[in-house]
Amino acid sequence: MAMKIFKNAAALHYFKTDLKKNLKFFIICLALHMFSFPLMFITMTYDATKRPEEYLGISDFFVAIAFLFAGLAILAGVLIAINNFSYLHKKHESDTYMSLPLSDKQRFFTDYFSGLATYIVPLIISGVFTFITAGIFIATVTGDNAKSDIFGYEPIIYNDHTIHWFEILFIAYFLVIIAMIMFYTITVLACTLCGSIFEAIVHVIILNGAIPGMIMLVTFIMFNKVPTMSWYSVMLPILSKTSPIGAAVSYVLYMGLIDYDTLLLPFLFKFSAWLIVFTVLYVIGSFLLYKFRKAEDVAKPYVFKSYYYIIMTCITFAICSAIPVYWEIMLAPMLVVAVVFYLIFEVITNRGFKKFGYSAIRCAATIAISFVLIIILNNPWGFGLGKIVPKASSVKSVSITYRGIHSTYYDSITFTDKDAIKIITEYHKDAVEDAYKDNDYGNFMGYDDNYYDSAHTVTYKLKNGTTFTRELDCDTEQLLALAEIETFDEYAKGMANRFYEEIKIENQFLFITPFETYGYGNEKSTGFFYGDVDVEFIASDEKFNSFAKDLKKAIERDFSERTYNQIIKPYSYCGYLSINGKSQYVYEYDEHILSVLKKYGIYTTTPKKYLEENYFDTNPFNKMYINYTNNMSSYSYELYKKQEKSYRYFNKTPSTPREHELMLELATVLVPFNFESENPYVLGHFFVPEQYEHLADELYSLGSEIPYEEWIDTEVEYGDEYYEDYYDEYEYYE
Amino acid sequence: MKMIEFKELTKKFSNEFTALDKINLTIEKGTAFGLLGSNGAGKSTMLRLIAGIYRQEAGELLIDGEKVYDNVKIKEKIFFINDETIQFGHHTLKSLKDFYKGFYPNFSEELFDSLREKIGLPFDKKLNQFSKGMKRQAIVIVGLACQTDYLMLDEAFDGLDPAMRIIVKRMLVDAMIDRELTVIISSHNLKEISEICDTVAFVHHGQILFAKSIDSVKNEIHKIQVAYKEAPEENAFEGLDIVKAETTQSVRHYIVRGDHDQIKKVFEATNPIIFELIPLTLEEIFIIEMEGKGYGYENI
Repeated sequence: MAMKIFKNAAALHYFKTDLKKNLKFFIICLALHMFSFPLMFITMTYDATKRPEEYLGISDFFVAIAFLFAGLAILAGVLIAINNFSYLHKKHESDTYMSLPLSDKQRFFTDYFSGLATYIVPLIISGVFTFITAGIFIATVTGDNAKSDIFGYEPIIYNDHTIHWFEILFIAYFLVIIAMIMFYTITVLACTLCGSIFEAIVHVIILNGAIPGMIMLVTFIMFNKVPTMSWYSVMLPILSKTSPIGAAVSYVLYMGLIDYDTLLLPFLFKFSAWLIVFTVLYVIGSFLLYKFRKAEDVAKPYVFKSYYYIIMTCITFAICSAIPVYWEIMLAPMLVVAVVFYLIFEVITNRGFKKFGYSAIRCAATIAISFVLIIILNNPWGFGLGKIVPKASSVKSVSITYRGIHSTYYDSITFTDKDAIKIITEYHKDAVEDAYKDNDYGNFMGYDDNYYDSAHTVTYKLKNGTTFTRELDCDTEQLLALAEIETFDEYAKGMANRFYEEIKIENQFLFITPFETYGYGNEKSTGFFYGDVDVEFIASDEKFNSFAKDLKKAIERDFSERTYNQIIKPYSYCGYLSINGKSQYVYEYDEHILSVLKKYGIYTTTPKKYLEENYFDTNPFNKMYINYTNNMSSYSYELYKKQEKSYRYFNKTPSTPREHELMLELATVLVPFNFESENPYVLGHFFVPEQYEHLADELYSLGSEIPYEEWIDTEVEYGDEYYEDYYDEYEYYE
Repeated sequence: MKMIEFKELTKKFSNEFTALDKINLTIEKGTAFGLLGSNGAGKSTMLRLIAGIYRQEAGELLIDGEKVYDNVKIKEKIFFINDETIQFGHHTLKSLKDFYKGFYPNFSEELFDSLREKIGLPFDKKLNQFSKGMKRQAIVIVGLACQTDYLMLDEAFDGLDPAMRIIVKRMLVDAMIDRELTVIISSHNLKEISEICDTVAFVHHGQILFAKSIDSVKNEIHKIQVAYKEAPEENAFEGLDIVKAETTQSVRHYIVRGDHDQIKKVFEATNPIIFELIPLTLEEIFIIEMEGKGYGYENI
């Protein structure tokens, strides 16, 4: 379309005329952009070189100015569009421009592209200067430590792919340009829908807010309480594509959701591609409306009455949707708000109280329609969408945020193996059956209604190209069945890669045994994250990298060699690898991991030997559980003696050699896993593997049985009052 | 054949108000066509339809055999001057000329310069500093310089002083003679319409009452001034289409439609002592026609 404009002499002349008309806006936008980020980086360079040690510098103010000016320049898009399409709103201009020997297509697209050029070119020019000034600043900051690269800055490692600062800056600018084009296009859309400047400006605001607002509200009503469905996962893909505000919100949220398999740049280009698609749709829509509207509609508030009714319905719907939160309290006030708001809008639109009676009737009808829509959309089962489980044969890959048997929170792992996919879809089916057998989920906003809890997020990529996500709860039996995915090579590789990436980013990791905490880091690490480290190893960069690679290979090997039995019935717990709150338990059969740890000087002994060599006066169990159970031992037999479901506690210091011996033996075989609650992920509790139950039984026979209620009320012998609060919290699980 | 044709054309606003109701009209090439009518009759609507600004709800509007709306080729042949001049305020005469020059391939710099010199308008001054009349002159000379086949003027003579009116009229006439320019003028200044136009159409409430040459219009309605010693019989004027009859003391005034000779014959047969057949001005004809449609000042 742009090329056609340049081929036609009259259209090209009109384009140049428009550019001249917009010259003042171009200069203002250019000045605002140039005095934003380029100037910000210059002041940051000044601060870095002149007074690096001072707390407050002039750049601190220029950062705020940069965002303010950039924001103003972005908002200038409204003025540019309204200026270019002023003949749609001013009667005395309408005759002049509509009588020119131009077709509707030529006139519209010339006005559109000339305004767009005025709006975007200043940003592109300032972007070039931003790159230059940012590069100077970054080179100044990195100084002597700078290694090779453009402007002397070492690239960031992300997802095992290097990414340079200038790529990040380019991506940021690229996304901002796309969002600005969309914003400008929505302004043009508002101009074609409205006949006066006042309404056009108001509807720029309304459209930019209404599009993301309605998406969020409608999807929230429909899916917020639907079991297995995540409002988030339904809403985000739509929100991110359809408006600049939605894209900005989604971009911030998406960045937290990117998994390690996702390459940053392709993801961001795909993200942007959808924005471009919707922008094109808005352009087409604007042109069709432009063509359909009549010259005599100038100065009317709304050219298309149906648009006005749609907007009023959306706004009334949004107000009325607050009512179901708490019917008794919200009904009257929200109805009043809806009625008053509607009638005010009618008075403004009709430029007075003309046909006020009709306005009142329309108001009542719109409110009624809003209620009907809310009732229809608030289907507690999401119109059956929550029950959909894809056939395993139709799935290309599945990602699951799997909190495994032997780890705490981790990111998602992706499976393409057919058998793994089948296991996950079977679990999904099971979880859906459980979710939908209880008809106990209330309306979308009832604050006192039940919510469906979820344990795993499952994302399918189907062979037909579609993607969808579900959030599934998981009970003990389902978890045990699902645990089979841990036997797959993809799991082993995924976990090994995750751990390796985290080590490379954090430049450290911990190995936490029941007895000691080992910290291993390289010279760049700035301190260990998790409190006191008993034994610290700081290695050179080269040695650390070598260790990380060896550990990665070892994890992959050991995990792939684990059998299903070992997974669901582990034994001989040694400790756990931990980075940034993410943990992976290690057992005596993980010989490659233990071998690597040993090679680099970590954890050179077994738990039993350690205990024998390091016997303390105090109860070793106290030391083991000090973080979780306040010096009280806690064992659960639930997994292996399901029919009992009782809790037995040993609550005294060992006073006989046999008690001492039993406790030592059990300390070395405890497995960090607990089925005390429905949520299998309660941290910090251990259980005794089946083959050692006799030891625990014997120990309890020497102790005393105490009911749970008394146990939690008992004052702690070794702890302090701080832990009393923990008891209150612990009650929650019951 | 080059012309403008309205065929059963209907134009409505907001689907409620019918501005033009199934009108049929032909404007021949090379004519100076006047559109006359009461306020809100539909004259400006017709001009805007021809200019391609409005589109009709029903019927056809053809210019040189082609539809005009969204037709760039036809629109290059049309220049429309509306009754507003505020939209040009930010232009100078030079920039206004440059603005229109880019759209009309036949634009003549020589003609523009010669017209500008005749009128004596400043070239580099902003039009919002011009008087109303000067703004009008500016857009008229730009319009003429575009050398289009059709020039439409909506209340174009407003604000012009008498001398300037003569100059503008002469420019129009010259263009009509030189290149068969078709001029369509809508105006309430019937004197000027009658001076420039050879054909007029009367528009009233969206209908064309008639469209004919000014000579025909003037020849079809006459004012008779008679005086009698003895009043004639009541049926003396049978067969005559008397639009209006007034008596002032002994003198009677009649407005009669019909052939000049026949009217004279009938009146002379009544033996008046004074008989005078007075030609009506276009303004008088307009008022008479409007009164006939209930638009007279007596109804206010």
